Amino acid sequence: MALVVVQENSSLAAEYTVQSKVGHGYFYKTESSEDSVLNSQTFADLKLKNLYSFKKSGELLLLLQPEVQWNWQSSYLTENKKKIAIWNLYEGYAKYTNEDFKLIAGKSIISWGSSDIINPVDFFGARDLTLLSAQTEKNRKGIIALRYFLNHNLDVNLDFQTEIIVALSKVQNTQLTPEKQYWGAGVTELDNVDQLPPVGFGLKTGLTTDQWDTSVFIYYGQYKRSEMQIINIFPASIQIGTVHQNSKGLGIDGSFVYNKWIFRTEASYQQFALASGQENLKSPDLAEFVIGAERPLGEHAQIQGQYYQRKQLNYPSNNFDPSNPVDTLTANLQIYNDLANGFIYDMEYGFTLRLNALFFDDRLELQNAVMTFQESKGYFYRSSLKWSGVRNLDLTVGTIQYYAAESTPFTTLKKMNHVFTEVSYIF
Amino acid sequence: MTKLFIKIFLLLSVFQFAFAEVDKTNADQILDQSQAVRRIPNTVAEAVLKTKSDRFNDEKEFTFLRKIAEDGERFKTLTRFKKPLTIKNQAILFLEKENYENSIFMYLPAYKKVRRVESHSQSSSFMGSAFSYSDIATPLSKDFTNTLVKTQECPSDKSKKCFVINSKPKSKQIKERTNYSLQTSWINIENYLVDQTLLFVEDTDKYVKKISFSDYKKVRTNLWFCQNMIIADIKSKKTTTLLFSNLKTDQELSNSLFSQQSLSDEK
Repeated sequence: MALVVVQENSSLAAEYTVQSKVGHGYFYKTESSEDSVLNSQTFADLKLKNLYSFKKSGELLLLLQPEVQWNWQSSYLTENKKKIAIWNLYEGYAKYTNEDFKLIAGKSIISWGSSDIINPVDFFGARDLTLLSAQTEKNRKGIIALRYFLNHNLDVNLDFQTEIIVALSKVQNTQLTPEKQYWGAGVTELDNVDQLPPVGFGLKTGLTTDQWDTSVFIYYGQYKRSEMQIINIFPASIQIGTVHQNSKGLGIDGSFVYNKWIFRTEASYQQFALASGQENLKSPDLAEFVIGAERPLGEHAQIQGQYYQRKQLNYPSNNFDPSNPVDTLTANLQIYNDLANGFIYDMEYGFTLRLNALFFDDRLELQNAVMTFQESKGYFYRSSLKWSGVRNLDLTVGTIQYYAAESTPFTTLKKMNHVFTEVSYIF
Repeated sequence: MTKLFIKIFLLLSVFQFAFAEVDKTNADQILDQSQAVRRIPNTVAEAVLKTKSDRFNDEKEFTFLRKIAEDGERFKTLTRFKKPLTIKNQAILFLEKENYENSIFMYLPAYKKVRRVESHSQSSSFMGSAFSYSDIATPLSKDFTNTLVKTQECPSDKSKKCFVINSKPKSKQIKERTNYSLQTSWINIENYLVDQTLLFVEDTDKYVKKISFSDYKKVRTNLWFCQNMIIADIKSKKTTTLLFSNLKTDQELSNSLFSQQSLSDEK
């Protein structure tokens, strides 16, 4: 189809966001240090958009969203203070939309699945876990890809959607630059990243039907994912590093409505291979499943519960023996594999509960979420209160708390417990 | 060819109702006629939602797209918010169905996700305003038991006469979804346009909401669009004004616009 380059109208728009967060008790500096850190992160976003409309042929949107992150770190026990600034392109793409399809080329956020908290099919996107106290979605990282969306109304009651992704693996980056070591994280750049395929693929396809308001989607992804993850836990501190994973995943999700309840379920199966070339270290396959239910409580509140289960397949877990001499990298990778899957047991399972409520004409929002880990005998809890009383200004206070049994290495995660405040102004 | 036939069918359906002979003692026919003169096949407009209460003033701007559904009676509506910037690109897709079992989907840009809104939540507030989701849906006479009570002066213009019609939900489902046990409507005798509606809940003879309609724009012979709606919520002491502008009714709106994929299409 020829693109008729008759520009009907175009508009350039700019939006600016300034967001500042202060959190205490973030990452600890060294393996044995008890010195906690007061950490302040300030983000400034600039979103530039230019929208071109073409008569009968669709719309072309150009979007550029760079952001700069200022970090200020101060420790209680020493005089150490650091200030750094990091530039990042949050999203930057060209999007063409017409009646039949949509095409996105560039760096964009990919978010799959409809569940909250536990999201097994959301395996194509990447995250930066150094932004732990941020609004959950702020720690997503864009993927450089070509994305093609097809939408068909098969009939009045059936809506069919397909998304095809071609991602450029080699240029994805969530590098731990020297500047980002300010929180004492170690650099773990693994070798042989060239062993990974240069191009990744993703497919999402499914349909929504009016019958019981049901949706079913299937997902497939094969690509290299680069993320900032927890790669090691010491008795006194936590190490963050960049991990490149060659990943294949297959997932399914569905939802339906019954009376006042919305039921959502997701399941996925993923295979991982690290880019290290460590062929003698087998990476586990991971099977994950979640089922949840959500319903309103009156007009201003909502409750949601989930049951989840995660299982490592084809991998003998908990096989790290400190007395057995292996090289440090292999030892770290074994621990990493356990941590990347969130547990050191063959299977982890638990529950999540989320309660949201609105007060004062929807200007004050309370969000509470708790997630339990039954095998690790631990939990994760997040609570926040957001005030939106002034136009374009949001004020948030909150806390993140971890707990795990003393007998597991995850008990160190409680050192990341902290309170945070956020001020966000968009203009 | 099939699309052309469907368009012709819809156009004929609209005009059939618009020019039908109405029995002025029959409440159902009066309401059918009232709906027919407002049943515009395609609508694109800019809208402002202004809410006031003792404690605050709030204003939201959005783009409003509405297309008549395949049944020729109900609508598909897409609203995409533009201001304030904190909610920019939030979008709501409202697909009207039988018995008010409407499908409502919401896109939240912060999460990059489309979420289904549970249908019982339709009685909850639309974006913090005095309107609920069900207030925005188009009521059909066949969903209610309708009674012509009397004829009297129209509330907005004493020189005009209005039919006064009581409408009670036909099923428990509709009552639960709308949260109203009774609606009383004033409908202009001459042009069948709604002048005012009072909404009642169970166990009280005082209305809980009052909706006033004004500034009707004639888009075609016997087809009108209401550009100004004011709703007063007695319980929350909130008043919301919904103002439409830049109205266009000659645009072709494809079905793909009213889909979940389109919902997540940020502008």
